[in-house]
Amino acid sequence: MSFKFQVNLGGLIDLLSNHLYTSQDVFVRELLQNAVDAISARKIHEPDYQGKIEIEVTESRGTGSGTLTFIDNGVGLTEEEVHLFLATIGQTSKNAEFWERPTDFLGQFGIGLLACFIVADEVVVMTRSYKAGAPTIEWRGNKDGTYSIRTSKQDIEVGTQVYIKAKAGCEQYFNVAKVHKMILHFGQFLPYPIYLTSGDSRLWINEEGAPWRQDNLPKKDQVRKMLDYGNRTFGMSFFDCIPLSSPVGDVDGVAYVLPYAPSSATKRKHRVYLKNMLLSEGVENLVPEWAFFVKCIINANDLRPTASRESFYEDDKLVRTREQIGQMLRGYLIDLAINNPMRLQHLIALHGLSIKALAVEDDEFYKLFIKWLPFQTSAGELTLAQYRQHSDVVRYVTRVEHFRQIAPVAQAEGMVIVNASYVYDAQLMVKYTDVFPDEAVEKVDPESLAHNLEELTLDEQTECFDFLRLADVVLRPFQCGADMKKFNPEALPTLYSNNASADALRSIEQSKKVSGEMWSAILDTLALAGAQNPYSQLIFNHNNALVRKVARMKDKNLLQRTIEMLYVQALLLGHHPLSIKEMTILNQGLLTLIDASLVSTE
Amino acid sequence: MPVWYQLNEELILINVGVEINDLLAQAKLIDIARPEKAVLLEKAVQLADSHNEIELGFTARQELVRVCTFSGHPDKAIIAFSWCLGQNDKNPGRFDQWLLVWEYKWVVLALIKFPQIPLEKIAEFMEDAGRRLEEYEGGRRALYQLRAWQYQNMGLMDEEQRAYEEWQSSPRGVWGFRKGMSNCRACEISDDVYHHILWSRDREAIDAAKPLLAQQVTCESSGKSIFGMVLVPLVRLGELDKAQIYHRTGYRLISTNLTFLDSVAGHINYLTIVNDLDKAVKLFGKHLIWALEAAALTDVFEFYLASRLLFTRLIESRQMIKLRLPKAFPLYKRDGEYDVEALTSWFDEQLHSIATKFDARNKTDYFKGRIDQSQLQALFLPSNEIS
Repeated sequence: MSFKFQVNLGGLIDLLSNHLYTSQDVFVRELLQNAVDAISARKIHEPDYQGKIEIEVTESRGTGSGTLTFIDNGVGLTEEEVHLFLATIGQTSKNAEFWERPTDFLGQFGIGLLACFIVADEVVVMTRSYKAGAPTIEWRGNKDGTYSIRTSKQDIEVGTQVYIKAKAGCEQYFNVAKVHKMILHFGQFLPYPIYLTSGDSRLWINEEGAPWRQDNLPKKDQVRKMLDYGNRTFGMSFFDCIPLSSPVGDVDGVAYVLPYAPSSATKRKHRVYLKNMLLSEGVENLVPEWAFFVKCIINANDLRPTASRESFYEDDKLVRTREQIGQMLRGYLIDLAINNPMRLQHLIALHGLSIKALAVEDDEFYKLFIKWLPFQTSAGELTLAQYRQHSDVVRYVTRVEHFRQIAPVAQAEGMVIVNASYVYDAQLMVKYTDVFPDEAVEKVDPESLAHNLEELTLDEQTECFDFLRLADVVLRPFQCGADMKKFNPEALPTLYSNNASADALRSIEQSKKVSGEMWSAILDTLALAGAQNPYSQLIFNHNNALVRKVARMKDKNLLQRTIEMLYVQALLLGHHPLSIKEMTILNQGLLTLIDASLVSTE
Repeated sequence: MPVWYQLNEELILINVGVEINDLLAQAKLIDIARPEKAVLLEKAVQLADSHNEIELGFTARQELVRVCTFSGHPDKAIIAFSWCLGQNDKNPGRFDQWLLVWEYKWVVLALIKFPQIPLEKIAEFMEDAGRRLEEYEGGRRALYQLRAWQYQNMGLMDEEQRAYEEWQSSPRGVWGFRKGMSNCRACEISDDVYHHILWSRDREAIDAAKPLLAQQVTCESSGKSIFGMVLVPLVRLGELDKAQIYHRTGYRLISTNLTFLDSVAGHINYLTIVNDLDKAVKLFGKHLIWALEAAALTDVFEFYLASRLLFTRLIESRQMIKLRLPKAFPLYKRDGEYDVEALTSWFDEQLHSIATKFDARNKTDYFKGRIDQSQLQALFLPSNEIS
């Protein structure tokens, strides 16, 4: 034996209004949707039929409670249909067989009317079916779930009229200005005219239509119209706008180029309409990820939203729609590159990151754009084209510490180095020879740079032999070796080179200090696995007067302190953080020097 | 405390706290799959350490653990985590427990991925993690779950079944930030799916995966990796249309994050089996660099297994192949002309070397068995008419 659930309508409405719908004004959306569906259904039978939606507001100032009337000239309902759709919650008319093209309709008649109870205690529906001879039916629904139905003597026009009266506390939704705003919010792009009447005034409020569907205007005015609309809607003057359209997903709309540089990690939220009714202002997955430089308004007629209304189902159609939108944005950039390079440079100054993101993914785009893209170099910010005027080989570092170490040396040696430690830059550098096989790219780090520096003569090597041997011993506890070369600038006493595994080793040491015995063994095995050359190197500069002087020092104790100090100085230059051991050296070194100078002055 | 640095003859005043927070904020703005994110966090950690800023070092490392776990660098996650755990135990009550205990789950799983870490150690940490999880939430569900994962990874089927049953029969806790230790629904579903696949129950696996595949339930990890997991089972069930859709949907979701290397292997396997070799080769070329850089050998193993299957298939039709492979690849050739047989045997060697390490550690022959099984699979690849 089966039973039926007893649904408490009051509780259900409370659930709808306070929990399921994020905002109470959705009842307007639901009413508009019902009207649009009814008109669309009628157009199936009469393709040239002119549908319209009339909305009337009566504000009664005395009592404070207003009424709202929604009138459409769509199919209307017969008595049987009224029972079926209006009285059974969850029954949607789109399942009905006489509406044979279900994807044309979104509305859920039952739920739609239910939403009215969010703001009203009673809902009255007058409706007359387009079927010949159908009478006017009057349906009165109450918030407690009861309803009455009767045939009205009054003959209304074919269509449906919904009357609701503000319940206590909801008066603000029945104010003309508010209603106007809510209707524009949800339905300004709907394909049927919507008239708002209040007192003597009757306005066609969606006359303007979608700003990107103004094909009769000259192109310049179309752009102005879209930008103007963007400004009014989002309150900012956008850099530019790009019309969008895609046959897949049946999509059209406009992409606004942001007037500021956004972050690459914040997901850009776009305002999306589904069949011209507002779906959400926070849709994320309709635009490719690299395109975080635009904010879009898009209408989609043939995509499937998820229940949350914040995104579309990741299906094949969506993938192809997104690709198409990506193609249009890409096309805009390419068009700028060819026809308006000055403007492109402005755009790159704002949105270089977004363009780099696309260049990483797309070889053809890379080919065209890489020369325009700016990079930080040891000679200031340069585009790759400007950089290539300085140097045949593109040299880059991937870590900012390396850049700090190398930049002065490179500069003195007449080299320009790209600091590719920023997002996407390293990938763009690697890609350079992939896309242009004749070009040379070289990744540099202090180690490889040191390799190319000038060696000492044999005599000089002999002279510095003892010094370097001592330096090796002194630096061993820091996993660092010593070497001496000749390089510019003369003022730089040392070059410190540490590779990634030396860095990893440092972080392992830090962890071992606090993590206790249990973890030590584990950390050691990790250290071993990563350790190809865990030693960093301190390269003394023989061109530096101080270094030459130190190398001749005889006092072993003082020499040791000086080597340690030079080591710490090199770390500081590269902004490497000091460990406690190294901090101690700094202090002890200073003390030794002070002692020494005191001794000599006494 | 302000510190003065001398840099390029300019004196720059640096307030360490401000600078660390600035680095953390910058890192927040970068997508988790981008290597630059971890670099910034590592810098924040170094800076905090050098100025003995324990609190900031803790915060920065916790974020580093999360980022490394979900961007494919479990080794770095372990290193950062062990520091946090050490500080936490030295200073009881000083740090928030929820994230620490939660991260312990990730870290224990990360340990399994390194064959040089002995079993006894893993067991020891698992007990420790279990104890802390129990203290935090009560119940041993999370511990059983960790155990099941471990046994899955080692191919200990009976133990896996037992742990799985214990896990499923323990009361489910709460899921949520700063709430409980249970996984999100998407991850729980994904665990079920994996369990069924392991026991060769394709139909059950696909049925269990439905909410994830239909995207009714989703999350940042399981919601994305599920697709690569179900492709081969779907082909075995003859549901080729679905497999194709899920391949296209799923690959896009995982194609930019190294942490999904094993998922990529699932997609390559699928493409190889349905004989879409052009696309399989493309994916191989694009992701090989991940395998060369990945620290987690278990994931590398999956990728190499898929690669070898692909090249075994390619041998049938060609001797040489033109590929753009990364310079870091030991067989790298500037002209891009590769001998298919040489590639196949290279992957074969790598697979055996990795398998030997894991099997020695696990005291099983599971990994070796996986290689043989895959070879067997290669023999029974469907003929070309499938595509």
